[in-house]
Amino acid sequence: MRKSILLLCLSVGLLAQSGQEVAKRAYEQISGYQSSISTTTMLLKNAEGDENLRKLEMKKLEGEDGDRSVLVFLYPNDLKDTKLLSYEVIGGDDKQWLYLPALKRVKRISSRNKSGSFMASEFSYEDISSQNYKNYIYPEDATVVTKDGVQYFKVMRLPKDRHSGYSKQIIYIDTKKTLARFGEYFDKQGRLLKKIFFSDYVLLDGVYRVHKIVIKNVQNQKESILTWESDAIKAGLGKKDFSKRVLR
Amino acid sequence: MRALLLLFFTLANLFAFEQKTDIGVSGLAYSDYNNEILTHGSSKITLNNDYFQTDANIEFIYSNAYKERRYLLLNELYISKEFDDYSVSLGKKIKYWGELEGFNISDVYNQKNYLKDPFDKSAKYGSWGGDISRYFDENSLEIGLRFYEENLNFPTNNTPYTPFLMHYDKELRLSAKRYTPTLYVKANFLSDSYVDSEISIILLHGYDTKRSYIPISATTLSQYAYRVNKALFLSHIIYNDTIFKTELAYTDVIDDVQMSDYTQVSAGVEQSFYEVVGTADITLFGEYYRYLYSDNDKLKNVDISEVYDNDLFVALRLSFNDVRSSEFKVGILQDIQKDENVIKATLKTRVYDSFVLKGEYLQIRSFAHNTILSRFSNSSRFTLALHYTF
Repeated sequence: MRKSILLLCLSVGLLAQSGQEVAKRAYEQISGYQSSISTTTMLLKNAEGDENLRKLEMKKLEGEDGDRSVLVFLYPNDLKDTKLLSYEVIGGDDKQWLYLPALKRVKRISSRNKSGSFMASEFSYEDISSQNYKNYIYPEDATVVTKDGVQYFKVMRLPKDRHSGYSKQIIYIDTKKTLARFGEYFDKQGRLLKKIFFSDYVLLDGVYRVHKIVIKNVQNQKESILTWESDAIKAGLGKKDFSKRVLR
Repeated sequence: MRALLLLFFTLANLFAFEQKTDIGVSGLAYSDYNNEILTHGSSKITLNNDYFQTDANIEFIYSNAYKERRYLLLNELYISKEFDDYSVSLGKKIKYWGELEGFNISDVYNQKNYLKDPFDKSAKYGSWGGDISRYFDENSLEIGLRFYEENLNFPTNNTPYTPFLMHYDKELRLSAKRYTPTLYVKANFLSDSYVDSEISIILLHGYDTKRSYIPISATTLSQYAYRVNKALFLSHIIYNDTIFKTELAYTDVIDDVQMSDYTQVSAGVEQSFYEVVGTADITLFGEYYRYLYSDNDKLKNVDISEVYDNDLFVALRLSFNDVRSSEFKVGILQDIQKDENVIKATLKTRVYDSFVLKGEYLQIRSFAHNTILSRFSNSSRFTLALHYTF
């Protein structure tokens, strides 16, 4: 009997992992890319099935105090050469500059609109920004759940940023590779707002890269699909490639 | 022919080539002038190889009603090279210096293109020059030259928005040589120590972009370029969701007795409200401009920048955040002392992936005497434009 209780205690100890610990491990699986250059397409679908296409070049730089990124709009053609430079500030307001090619103007913009739609898609600015685990609070231990015969860690996370459009997010991370596979995002009123699916992971130079993200807004029935057409990591980019000088 | 083809394919392989072309047709209905159909466009070309980058911008306008509004122009052509901490560029270029939305007193590198549209901030002529920039993390120092001064085309009789009551001769007169260069130094500082802010200081020595006029005969005027020392200060501060902006300029006229030294002051605030109506965002702008002459007895009201004297600019931008990137903007420039104002409203939406439809209303109202706006008379303009971009 004493042996059984000891075994049970050990099992519970092994199974009970903090949400933050699992999230950190999942983040480490996609970290270490140093810098990346990707081209992506984003397909926007409304409830009637009408489709619109967007194309983007994304450059990213990993940093201890937050990632930096440059997004270059490629399509629709009237938006071509518009650029968005972002410096992530962990737990705070990011810094953002927008380059407007018609005026050749670099304009500082307020980055508080985290919940706003990115290029009219169902992705918000915070959905496409860095998924650094430090941006969230983890109030519960991760639990192991089984869906369609696959085991996942179910992790609840609460955005630290009070300007986030979400009250909470539940992320399902597969127990084998510790990669986020899907999730549910809840609005400020606590209602389910979006379902997100991460797929087409590719292992590049020891780093897992997601190459397809589908986001479905369950409240308006719209859907956006972000697909990577090309992706290079450890691309040799430095801080100078993510400063205001690139906005021209 | 074979040699041409060989040259073409050799060049195509040597350079990475990118282009963006916009072609538009506009119908303009004027209250005080004949209506016109305008065909217009621009093509931006970038050629890249391992050694340098070449950028070119070609513009054209063809008006069915006004001969002066017909031109094909190589508005930009420059090469640039990036090094680790430096960059250099040489050629004909457009630069933007400014913080505010309504008018930028600091935007003095290029001359305005009055033939295209005196009320469009992006309507500028490229200037031949060169610059070298040194980067220090987020800060930078730029030294540049504008090589010489060019003649400026203006709308004259029977063309909308002419500021002249006499004939205009476009041959520029100058206080020194035409090829006397204009030199500037621009320092840019980014800070988040106390507040999130950015400051630029520009010192300029050479010809002023504001030019006066001299009579060259009993019936004809010509532009007169004079040299100045100019100090410019640009800054923005972000506090919570609000952006505070400032542009200041002091101009010391060196070699023209007709023109007074002058100080320009402008300050503005920008505040956004997100997802106010559905997914639509609203941004509000409030700005104030002041123009102070050191000697009030000298020549005044020769340049459109002098409109912005004791004026308040209030504007609203409604971004619908829809798949058509629809946007509505409306703004009023109101002179606080004189009875004159300018109202502009623009609605823009993408109709198909490569087509953008734009409607614009402009109204000028002036009951003042001897001001720039009073010369345009009370008038309005409605524009409907369709743009195709590829």
